[in-house]
Amino acid sequence: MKLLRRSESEVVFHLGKREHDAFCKLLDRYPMVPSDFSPLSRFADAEDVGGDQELLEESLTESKKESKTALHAMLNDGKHFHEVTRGWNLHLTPEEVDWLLQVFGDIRVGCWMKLGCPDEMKGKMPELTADNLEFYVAMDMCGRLQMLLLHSLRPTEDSGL
Amino acid sequence: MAVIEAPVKQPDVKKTPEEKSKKQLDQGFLVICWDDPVNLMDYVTHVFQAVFGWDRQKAEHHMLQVHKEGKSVLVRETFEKAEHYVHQLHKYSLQATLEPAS
Repeated sequence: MKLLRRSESEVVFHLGKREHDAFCKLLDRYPMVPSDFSPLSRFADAEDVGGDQELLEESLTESKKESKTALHAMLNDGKHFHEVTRGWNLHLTPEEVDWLLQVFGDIRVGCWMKLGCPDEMKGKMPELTADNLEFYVAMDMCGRLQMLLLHSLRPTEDSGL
Repeated sequence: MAVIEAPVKQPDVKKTPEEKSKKQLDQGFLVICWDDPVNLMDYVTHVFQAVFGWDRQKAEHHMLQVHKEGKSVLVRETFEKAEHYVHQLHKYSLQATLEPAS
């Protein structure tokens, strides 16, 4: 995936055919992070925040459901992906770039959880097996795509793409 | 053989935000972001900018605090606003909580 151009209202990426396939298959995984992955509070009185915790989880579930629908639309509406000679051009508004960052963030964290929450800085390395290797690859891909999307939002910086 | 009685189901009695202790409400709530080994530093900076409208320098300062100290207090707010911010941060899959300011 490569940044083609950007303006205040639109960012355009080019994806080769295989990149497009991989991009779509990666997004198929969304959502991966369970809505209760993080408590509303670690120290507040549980009685004080219990109901709020439930509401928060419901709201997050609903929000991800809407995102999933929007993702399906993005991949199929013919407005975002334009087929070109050697692949596809992806047209996004800056708001959609931010939203995709959230989506890839969910998949990245979800893959990390599937790998047993490794922490390489603390010496807790991922225990890779033939079964979970796909999560490691997907996590890495999400990180790379996130960096690309972040660069596209910073017109003053050299994106190095 | 021990007999385990079925638990008696109590009606759900949850405190509304208005019923939270006066002390907590007076002192407000801190929105805290906790370190995790998975989210990228640039991504966390972006999220702080997007959620709080901060400039890059301030967002980066808090991101580095999370990275180096394990957590950063992002804002002090009323319960409702703090809850809103935590919800936004959770949408980006960051580990964020609200804690009583006392």
